[in-house]
Formats: sequence, C-alpha cells, structure tokens
Amino acid sequence: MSADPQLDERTAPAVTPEAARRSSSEQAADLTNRYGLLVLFVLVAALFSLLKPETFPTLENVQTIASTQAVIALLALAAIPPLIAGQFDVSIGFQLGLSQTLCAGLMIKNGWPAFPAAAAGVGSGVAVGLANGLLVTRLRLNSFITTLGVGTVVLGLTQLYGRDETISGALPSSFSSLGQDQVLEIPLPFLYVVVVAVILWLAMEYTSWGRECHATGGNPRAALLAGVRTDRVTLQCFVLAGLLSGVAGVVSVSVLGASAPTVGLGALLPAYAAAFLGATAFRPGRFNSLGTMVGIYLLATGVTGLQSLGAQFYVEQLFYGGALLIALCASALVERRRGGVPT
Amino acid sequence: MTGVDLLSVSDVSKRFGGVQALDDVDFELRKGEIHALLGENGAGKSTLVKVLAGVVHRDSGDLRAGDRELPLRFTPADVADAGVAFVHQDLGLLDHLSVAENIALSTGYQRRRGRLISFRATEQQVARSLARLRLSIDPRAPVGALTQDEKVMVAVARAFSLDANAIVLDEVTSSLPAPEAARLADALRSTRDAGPGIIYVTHRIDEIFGLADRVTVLRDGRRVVTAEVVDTDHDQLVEWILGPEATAAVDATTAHPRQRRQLGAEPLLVVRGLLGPGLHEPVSLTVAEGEILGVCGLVGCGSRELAGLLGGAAAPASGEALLEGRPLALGRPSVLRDRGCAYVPGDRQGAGGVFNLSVRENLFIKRFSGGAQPDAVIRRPRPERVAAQRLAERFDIRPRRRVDQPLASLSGGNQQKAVLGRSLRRTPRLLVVDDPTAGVDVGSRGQVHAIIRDAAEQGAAVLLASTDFDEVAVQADRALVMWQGRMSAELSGSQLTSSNLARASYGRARSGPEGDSHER
Repeated sequence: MSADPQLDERTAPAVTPEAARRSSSEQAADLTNRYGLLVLFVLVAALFSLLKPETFPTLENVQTIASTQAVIALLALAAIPPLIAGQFDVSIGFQLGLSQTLCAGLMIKNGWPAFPAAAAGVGSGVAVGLANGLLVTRLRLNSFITTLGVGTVVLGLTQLYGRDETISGALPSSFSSLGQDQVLEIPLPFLYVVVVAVILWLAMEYTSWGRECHATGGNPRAALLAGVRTDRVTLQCFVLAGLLSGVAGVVSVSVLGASAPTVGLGALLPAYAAAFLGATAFRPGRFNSLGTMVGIYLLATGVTGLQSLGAQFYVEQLFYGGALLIALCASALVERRRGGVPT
Repeated sequence: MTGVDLLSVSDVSKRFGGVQALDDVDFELRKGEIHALLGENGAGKSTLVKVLAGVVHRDSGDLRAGDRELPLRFTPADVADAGVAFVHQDLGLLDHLSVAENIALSTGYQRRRGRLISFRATEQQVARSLARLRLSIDPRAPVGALTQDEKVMVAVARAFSLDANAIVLDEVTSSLPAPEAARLADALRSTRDAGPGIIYVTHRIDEIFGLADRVTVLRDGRRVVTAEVVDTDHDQLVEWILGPEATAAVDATTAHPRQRRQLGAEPLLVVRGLLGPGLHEPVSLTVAEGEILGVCGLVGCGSRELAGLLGGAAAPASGEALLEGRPLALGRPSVLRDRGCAYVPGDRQGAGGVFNLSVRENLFIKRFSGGAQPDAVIRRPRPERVAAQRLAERFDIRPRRRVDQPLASLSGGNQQKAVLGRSLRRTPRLLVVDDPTAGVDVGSRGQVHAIIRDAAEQGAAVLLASTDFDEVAVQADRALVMWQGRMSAELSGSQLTSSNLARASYGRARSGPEGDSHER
C-alpha cells in the first residue's frame, strides 16, 4: 500500500540530529527529575558531615537515625496506597497510636504473649482501614474529612484504653529484640522499612493490581469504564494503609519499649511530607515507596544535622512544614512539565 | 485591500524544540469576512491561535491588529485592547447564570444610584446587543438551558459587546451536531453586517461551505493556500489539508463505505425495553454479528445515554440486554469487559484516558483472564512495552516508538486511537463507541473509522452512537434516530443518508419511512 512509505516519512524527524539533541536534553532533565532527591540526600548528609565531622558521620549516629525514623517511614509508606488511588488517609497517625497502645497495653497490663498482642495491634489498623474504605466507597464520602473523623474516634478509643499515659514495663525479650537487634550492624527496624518499601514498589509498579490502583487514582471514571473495580481497589488501599499503620505501631513499641500516646500524631506531617517529596523522585509525578523512603531519611538527616549544630526544638516543625510545601511546589512543577507539550 | 485588514500576520514563525510549529505563515482577516482556518491536528492551527492570543510568543514575523503593530512579546490583555476576542471550545460561560449575567460579567453590570446592580437595566442592555446580532435569545434564560449553538452565539455576543472587531472562534463546533452547526452558521452570517471579522477554526470541512467567505489551510506549520470558499470544494480541501500523497491513503479507507458485509442471521445483541437516565421511552433493538448499527440525533437526544447503558457507564432502571442469548450485567463495567463488551466513551477527557499514566499503561489497565503477558498478575515491563509498541503500530498511535510518554502529551486523535487500542486489543463481541471522532483530525478520523469497521468484520456487533450525521450515514449499515430520549426512526439501505438522518433528528413528525422501531 502507498500508506506505509508515507507514514515512515512522517515519523522520520525522530532521528534527525536536532531531535536527537532535544531528546538527549530531555533525558538529562528526566535524570535530574528522577534522581534529584537522592542527590539532595547525599548532599545534605555530606554537608553535615563536613560541619560536624566528629559526631555526625559516625556509625552510631547513622544507626540511630535509621532505627528511630523507621516508625515514621512505615507510616509514610502507609500513606502511599490511598494516595495512589486518589484518596487521603489522615487517620494513619491515629491508627498507629491505637495499634501501639493496644500492643503495649495487652502485653504489659494484661500479660498477653507477644504474638497475639502484635496481631491485635495490626488487626486494629486493618479494622480502621476497612471502616475508612467502606465509608469512602459505599457512601461516597470525601476521604480527607472522613478519615479525620474516623481518626478522631480512634484517638478517643486509644485514650479510653490507654488513659492517655505512657505504658511502659517489662516486654518479652523476643519482642523487644525485634526492634533493637541488628544484622551486620543494620538495625532491624530499618530492614523492615526497606522490605516493606521494596514490596510496595513491586506491587504498585509491576503488578496488575498496582496498575489498577494508579488508574483509579489518575482517572476513576476511565478506570471504572476500562473494567477496573475501582471501589474494591480503593477499599483495598485503605485496608493496606491500616495494615501498615498497625505494623508501624507494633514496631514502635518494640523500638521504644513502651507506648507514647503522642508519637502517631507527630508523625503524620513528616509522613505526608515524605510521601510528597517522594513523588518527585524515581517516578516523577506519582507517589512511590522508594522515593518516600528517601524522603523520610532526607528529612530526618536534615533535622538531626540542624539539631547537632545546636538548633532549637522548633526547627523540626519549620523544617518538616517547609519541606512539605517545597515538595508540593516541586510536584506541581513536574506535573506541569509532563503535561504541557506544544503541538 | 490591505488597508481594511482587521488582522494581518506576515512571515510568522514559531519553533518548539525540534518542531517547526509555524513556518513563515501569512494570514489576513478582512473587515466583515468569515475566514475559516483548516488543518490537521499538529498542522499549526492551535499554535497560530495561541500566538494571536498572546499565550505563545512568536519567534519572528510581523503581527498587526487594526492599525496596531504587536511586538514579538505581548500579553493577552494587549491583544484584547487591540480589539481581538477569542471564543474557545469550552466557551467560558457559567451554566447556572443567565445570559445577561454571563455577558455582564465581562462588560460590567448596569447600576442604580448607590452602585447596586440593576438587573433590569442590565437585561435591557444585553437584549439590545443580542438584537443587534439578530439573535432571538432570552437574556433572562439560564445559559445551562440553551442549546450548544445558542451558547456559542452568547459567547460571540459577549465578544461583540466588548467592542471586538476581530473574533476568533476556536473549534467551537467540534461537539455540535450538523443541524445546530448549520443554525450557528446562519447566525454568524447574519452578524457580518455588524462589521467585525471572524476567524473560524475547525476540523469539519463541510460546515465551512455556506458559512465562510475565504479559507486558509495550514499543513506542517506552513500555509498551503488561502482561497475563496466558492472557488473550492470538499475534495480539494481534503487534498490541501492532507497533502497530495496522503489523500490516496484516506481514499483507500473511506472510498468504499458500507461495503455489504456478510451479517449473521441471528442477532448477536438483543436489547429489550431498556429504560434509564436520559431514556424516556423503553428502547429495544437488535444488532447482528458484523453489523454496525448507528444511533444518532441531536445533542441530548439520548444516544450518548443509550451507549453509556450498553457500555456499562450507568445502570438501567429496567430492561435487559442479551449478548449471544445470555444476559449482560449492565451497570457493571468489569463484568461487561470480561464478557467481551468494549466501550469507547464519548467524553475522552473525563472517561476515556488516564492522562498521567503512560500510553503503555493506558493500553493495559485491566487484566483479562488468560495469564500470559501483558495479562499476567506480575507485569514485566519489557514484554509489555513490546506489546504496547505492537498495538501502537496496529492502531497507528503516534509517536509509535515512545509508548512510555504520558497519554496527555499525545494529540487528541492519537489519544482516541490509544483508547480504541485498549478497548479493541482483544477482539470484542460487542463494541459500543460514542462520538469516536469528536475533536479528531481528518487523518485520524479515517483511521478510527477503519478500526471500527475492522472490529465489525471480525464479527463484533457494533453500536455507533454519534451526533455526526455524515459519520453515521457512511459508516453504519443501519441507523436508529433518537429524539428527546426516544427512538424516532430507523433508516437503512438507500434511505440512510445524512440529510435523511438530519431531517429525522428534528422530531417524530418527520420520522423516516421505517417508522418507530419499538412500536412494532
């Protein structure tokens, strides 16, 4: 047919030197987008290492940051599935608090063995996630305000059970070693974060289910009409968020050796800051777990570094809040660049 | 002659990266003329409009509005000051406000003493400007209650009220059925006495006859020709738009319309007593294997809603549909897709594509049973990319090799081919397509039609809902006409012409010779 040579002629400009130059500059921009956050992380770490060479770049300090931030990192990963499906879950911090209080309380106050107590903590997260998901998908409620309401109820329940006090006492040693041991100098909690982040990455980027989540978040109507059970996918994302928040709560008990009622609430903002920062890395323009992990440790390194220089306590809030705003602006700019293509 | 030009563009060029979007383009708009601007997607039409609007800055060339030279960089406000107004496809009207208020929002309200708004004086003033354009539109009517062509004219009246002497209508008819487009053309022609010139940007060739005075065709960023409309014809324009070598390819796909296919004896799809949102009387119909059934009518006639019901976009209130004798789970898209029912929604932006995902990801959103790539639970990117490139090849989704770029970066026609590719990658038994070529360039239009015909030839029952009568007349084997949520006529054989479809679409009184299908 005469059509073919003509089509080739039209696609030919793709190989002109001009187009090649353009695409190489596009590739450079693409690389900056993908790995910029990672480079920033390295730069921040290097900066504080230069400023505080005796205390900052030590194995001990690195281990401390890696293990103390693991809980917040898990919480940030919990925020990812709903975000990918186009929903906000602001109850994850409260879910963490419930799971933590239940897990610590059942072991310390009620004398439960470790495994059922941990299962109860994780299970509480799953139950709250299910409630969130059902309210959002069945009643078509706005997820932000719904999860805020559910989260506040969860906080009340947590206070009812835990009396709003720190629960501390003797924990089964097998349980505390889960949060305090190291393998090859790597703290176990950090390994949990890496494992969860990698599994979440694979699930979201390399499975049919992940594709359905991304499609649901990108255009729910189109996803539904393409044959995705969008309600089911959304519900699953909320349940997964609950599961991960529950795990974060249990891990926090094993790291701290106690429950502290305020941990979950304080962790919500850094978790979201990291999720949005993460959306500027590796897969620019979409929420992803590896970017989120880098985001958390970037924020933690920054805050720890500033504090080691003698910064006041309020620097933490300024830094997290500022980072969230910067991440939002950066995502918006990436979106604009990806979307706007001249005709 | 040049002394009366409202707008003149000379030697204007614009480059985006490696793409020469405009290449020494000349264009002038005379006083009182309607000047059509034609071209494929990517030909440079929208770039030229953006340059005129001050949204995109040209690289070189001169631009003059009336007696004002516009510098290389100017703002949309500068060009508005120079008396050039733009009416874009979305019109920028607020549906819940009245005609008078929509116009007054731009021109300013009439006020009482004490600076409070006088709605009566505002309405009277708007009524005067509507009358000057010989429009019979009630200034108090809410814009949401107007037909689409009336809305366009309200947007035009607003431009006139702002003292514009050159108005650019940017593809305002791409969602307009032919009769409404014709009414719009009448209304526009009657405004010519009022003086301003109109630049009429469109995909649709047929509507410029009897409307425009002159036509300029762009191709690959260059001006091909500017001609008097009376001196040209449809085929000539197609050749100008596509270029000499491409015309043959389009002819090959459209020259033999409605070649009689072997239709199955038993109907593949049987619809009985279907009622739902937008359908005011029960709809019954059948489609045979390999048959393309057109469903058309004016915008809002119910054809889109019928397609949506059969495609799974909404649940019916009552009635049933059987495919191969077994009932379809209407209202449940995922089950319908598994049964081999494909649906291409008319609202590509809202319901067709997932624009932040890549073309590849869009092609394989749903996993169909079977288990092999790309329908496995674990998606391996490489085989999926190969499969996506193969589909891009088959459906001519361009650029074909770059399946990993976001769907948003493709042109409208290519986005539509990607949505079709997703729906048709597994040969469907039932294909429901809704206005598949709205906002699609001429070249892609022929390809989209070929894709639909191909699905029918492979044994699908096809329901083609469309407000484009030419499309239905040429592509369908048989057509149902809808009017206000009811079936009003059935046309087939030699009766199936676009003028018969248009006539039947205006109401039941003039329904076609076959009568009401559902009353038999």
